[in-house]
Formats: sequence, structure tokens, C-alpha cells
Amino acid sequence: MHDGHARHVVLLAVLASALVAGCAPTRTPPLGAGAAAVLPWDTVVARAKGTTVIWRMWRGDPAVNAFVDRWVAPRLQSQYGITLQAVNGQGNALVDQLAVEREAGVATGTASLLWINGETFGALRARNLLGGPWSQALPAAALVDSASPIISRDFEQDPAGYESPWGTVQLALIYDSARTPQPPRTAGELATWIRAHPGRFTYDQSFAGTTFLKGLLYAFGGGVDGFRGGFDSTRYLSARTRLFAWLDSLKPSLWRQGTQYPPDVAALHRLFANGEIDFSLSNNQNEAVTKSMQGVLPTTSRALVLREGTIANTHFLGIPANAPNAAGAMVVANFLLSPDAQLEKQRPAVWADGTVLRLDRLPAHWRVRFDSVANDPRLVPADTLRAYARPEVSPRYHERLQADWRRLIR
Amino acid sequence: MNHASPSLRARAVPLLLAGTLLGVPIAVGLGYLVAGALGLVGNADASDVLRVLRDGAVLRSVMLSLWIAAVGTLLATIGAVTVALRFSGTRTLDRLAHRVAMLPLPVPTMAAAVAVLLLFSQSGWLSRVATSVQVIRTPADFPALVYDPFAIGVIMAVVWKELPFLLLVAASLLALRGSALTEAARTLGATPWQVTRRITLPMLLRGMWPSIIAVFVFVLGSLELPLVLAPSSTLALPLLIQERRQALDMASHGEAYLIALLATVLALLAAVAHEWLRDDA
Repeated sequence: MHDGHARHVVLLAVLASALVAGCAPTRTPPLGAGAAAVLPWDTVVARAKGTTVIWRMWRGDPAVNAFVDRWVAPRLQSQYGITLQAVNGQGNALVDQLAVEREAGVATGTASLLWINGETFGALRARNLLGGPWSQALPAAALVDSASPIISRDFEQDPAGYESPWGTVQLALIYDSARTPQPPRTAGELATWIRAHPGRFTYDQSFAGTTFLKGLLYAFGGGVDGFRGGFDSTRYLSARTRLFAWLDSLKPSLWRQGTQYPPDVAALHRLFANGEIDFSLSNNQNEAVTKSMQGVLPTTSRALVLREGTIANTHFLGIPANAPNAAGAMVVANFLLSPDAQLEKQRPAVWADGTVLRLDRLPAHWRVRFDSVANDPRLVPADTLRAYARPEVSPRYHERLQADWRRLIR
Repeated sequence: MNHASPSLRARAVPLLLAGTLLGVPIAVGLGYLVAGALGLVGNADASDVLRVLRDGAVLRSVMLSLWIAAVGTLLATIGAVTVALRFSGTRTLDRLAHRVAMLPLPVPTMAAAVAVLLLFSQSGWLSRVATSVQVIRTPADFPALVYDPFAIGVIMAVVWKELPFLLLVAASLLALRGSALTEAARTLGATPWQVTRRITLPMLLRGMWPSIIAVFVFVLGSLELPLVLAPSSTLALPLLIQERRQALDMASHGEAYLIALLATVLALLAAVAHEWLRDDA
């Protein structure tokens, strides 16, 4: 929803609700996130008691929804007296809604918490639509792995206290350990494998496929560090030339000789599960296990990360500048950073979303529990993931690579 | 004729209401599309028009969508007419044939797409059966009918979904006018084949044209089947519009409006061609 149309619809809705609100007795504007952040934490918790927090988030995955609605919400209610309502909304729709509310002069919006990252965070910050800084005021912020380049930056942007991390994922290849006991571990080995097994490898046309190629783009361009500091056209083009030459040389050996590509990861998973191809992809390093527990992928599915590195990124929580309940939102964000919530979220049977906590900052008994989840022999070991994780840089690279791939390769 | 008769006035209100309900969304949609193409909303501008018209991907996409709609509609029509003529009686077999042919009618399009995928893909049910009875050596030897450059999978699903609709029309035409004409011709000494070729078939086609055009236009613009089954080397029009509309690069959003407008023009052309054919006849 990038267009004016959505804005007009939202504007109408906002004007209508402003009319209704105008008839109600006027109240003092609620406490903003920046103001709440300087209060003692106990005061924040006390103010949040008995309130409702509306959380605009991506509602596209039943597993995530179940975690939020059936695990998080009841605990917030019993521990903090907070009623959590998760509603749908992501990306540019969030920016549009808040921008329109501001234009319409709505001092108090509806949502108090937003699931954001990357471009959405950049757009919200540029328009001063986020409240803060607040994230360092959370007691649980002390447990966050703040030294990690993946968690401390959001597509190169400094969160600056205006968003709080709550989970991290990393792209991985999925293979079947029964079919491919010795899978390739580097881009070079992968190319050799593809040539030796014509028709057994492909990647999807959507987000995961592009992210897979983006990891190779950075590797072929001399490493992701050289791509930091905004979009550099020269550097991009030289890396793209190498990547596309590599892809062109492999094309005859790809599934359908590289003339067709599956539309999305779901189709890629299906081809893999049905034995048409021997590799799938996922933006979540743990999906090989979660999807095999759901019966979508073979039980012998395993994940691997190429030694050239794969893209990892972090998802964050923000509080709108016009949030009706910033104190409540902060308590929710803090709860989501608690070892309890982070561990539950990471279980393969729940969501398998990576933790943002630094485990050596946790009490020993928590470390043991995290280790028991992360040391599942079917998962990629945590230190392997960490060693080959590559951060997101300017979103322009993703944009250009996707457009150029469609034009030149597909 | 100064006063409208009460009955006309009584009918005017529901007519106006129906007209508004049907007309306003179409007018708004078209208006929005034109506004988008002209750059009044979104970010297209006049230079985009030429670029879109010259874009090889757009041209190929138009050809693929026309191909899917034309072949799909043609095969569905042939199938519907064949079933209607072959099983036109009231015997148990006739009624059974109609029932079976009508089965796909209530099936959602998305379910039809998935059914084709499960049956006809290279790892699908047919491929496995063919492998197990050793008609082919491995599932990969099965011909590529899904995600294939000729969109065979899409066309199969189109025929399966649209045949019952056209059969419904053909059967009611036959029931309505068929027997009287046929009997008259038979009395005059025509052979059964002559009756079919000279009388029944032309009568059927004349009556079916509006439905055939409707199916063609519907298939041309439908997203579900291509979404699940179509090739990626060339994108069907609805997929191309969706891709440009959702692209991260905002510049291509204007193109999405233009291509959607182009698709609308194609649909209108089909309707105009139909009117022209009808006047001609």
C-alpha cells in the first residue's frame, strides 16, 4: 500500500473516528514513549496495569499468531494486567496510517506497538512518527547481545533507542540428509554439485531467492563490509557482473534448465519435498526443523549456511509518537525480551525465531535451557550461524538485484 | 407520454439501485486506473506509456495471456458443445454425463489450480503412477505440464473450470429451441448429421457467443490459475501487474496501472468484437 488511494481510505476512517472522538470529553494527551522512558520502571509497570495495548504486526504466519495470542497475551494479562490485542498491519501501511493521522491532527492514535524493521523504521524515523528514545530504559535491554552487528544495526541504521530488537533470522539452504549426506558448503562446491546433478537445484523468485543471491553478491563483491555506507552503483555493478556470470554458467544445469523458477518459497519447499529438487531455501535458519515437524518437509531435512556467509536480520518493535499507551507498550516489549518469552519463541514447535539475547548475560539455569533448544542436532550450531552471519546493508541492493534479476536472468 | 406510468416508476427505483451498485464500482475502478496511468495518483507519467508499450516483457505477457484465454475458451467450448450434443437425451447415461461434467462448477478456482498441480506436475500423482508402471523411468521424465512455457497446466485448469459453465448454457439452449427445429428439419428429410451441422450447431454457437466472450474475458484477467501453475519465463498479465505493483522499486508502480489499463482495453476489445459480430450476423 504505497499509494494515495490507501491514504484516502485511511484519512476518511481517521476523520470519522476524529468526529466520534470530538464528541467525547477532552482528556490530557497520554504519556509519550520518551517521557515514560525517564520514569522509574516500577512506575511504568504501575501505569500500564489495567490497560490495553494494540499491536500492529504481520499476521501472516499461524505459528507466530498462536505464540502471540495464546502464549504472550495470557501471560501479560496475569503478570501485568495488560490486555494485548494484535492486529494486522505492516510495512508502508504503518507509515501511511501514522502520517495520515498526523495530517488529520489526531494527537492520540490507536496502536501503541509496531512490528518494524529496515525500510519501515527508516521511513517512520524520517517523518518523526516514532516515540522515544525508550528501548534502553527496558530492564531486559541489559541482556540483549548489543555487540552483535546484526542486532545493533537495522539495515545500517542506528536504532538510537527508537526500536527494540525482539528476534533474529538467518537465511539457510535446506537439504535432505538422507538424499545428500555430503552437501556442498561453499559457493564453489555448490556450483560443482549443481553441474554434477543437472536439474536438481533452483531458487525461488521471491524474497528468499533474492536474499540468497544477495548473500552471494556481497561475497563475490569482496565481502559485505565493502558495501556499507549506502548504495554504491559502481561496486554493485561489478559484483552483479560476477554473480550473473556465475548464474549464467549454471543455468543449463538448474531445474528446467533455468528457464522457469518457482514463484515462492512454498513452491520451492513442495518441489524439494516431492523430490523434484534436492535443495530448498528459508529465511529462517530453523525452518528445516519446524517444517519437518509440521510434515511439510521430510524428517531428514537439515539446514546449512554457505561459508561465504548468508544474510541475517533482526526484527524490532517501535512505539508510535501518538501511541495511546506507551507505558503498556514498553512493558510488552520488555516481556518479549524476557528469557522466558525468548526461549518459548525459539522452540522449533512454536516459531523457531532466533533469540536476540546474549546467553552469557543470563543466569546459568537459563543458559542451560537455551542450550538445550539450540543444541538440537538437526539445527545449525549457534556459533556456526554467528560465524557466517552477514548483516543487511542498504535496502537499495535488494531492490536493484531483484529488478535486474527479473530483467537479465529470468 | 408526459407521465411515467406507475409501474415504470415502481421499477425505476430498483433499476437505479442496481445500476448504481453495478456501475459505481466499475466507474471508480476505471477512473482510478486512468488516474494512475496519467500520474494523477501514484507516480506514472506520460513517458511511461511508450516505455510500457515498447517493453518486450509486456508484449510477451499480452501474447501469453491471449493464448491462455483463447485456447482455454476454445477447448472448453468444443467440450461443452460435444457433451451437450452427444448426451442430449433424457436417458440415465445422458443425465449422468451432465452431472459428471458439471462437477467442477462449484469448485473454487484456487482448488482447481492445486488439483492440477497435484495431478500433473512432474512429482504429481500421474507422474508417480507412470513411473511405477514403468511407462517412464523417473518422475523427471514426465512432460513438464506445470510451470511450462506453453501454460498447458493453466489451460487444463481453465477448460476444467469453464466447460461446465458453457455446458449449462448449451444444454439450456438445446432444451429451449433444439427439439422443435430438429423435428422440423427431420420431417423435411434431413439426416441427423445434416441437422447437427446446419441447424443445431449454428443455433448453439449463436446463443453461446455472449457466454464464450464472457469466459474469454474472465480468463484473460484471472489471477489464481497463473499464480499457481503458470511459467515464469513469461508472466501472464495479472501476474505481471501484480509484480510491478509490488516491486520495491516505486518507479514500476505507475507501469502496473498502465498494464492494467492495457488489460482492460483488451477485454473491452473482445466485447466490442462480439457486438460487431452479432450485428453482422
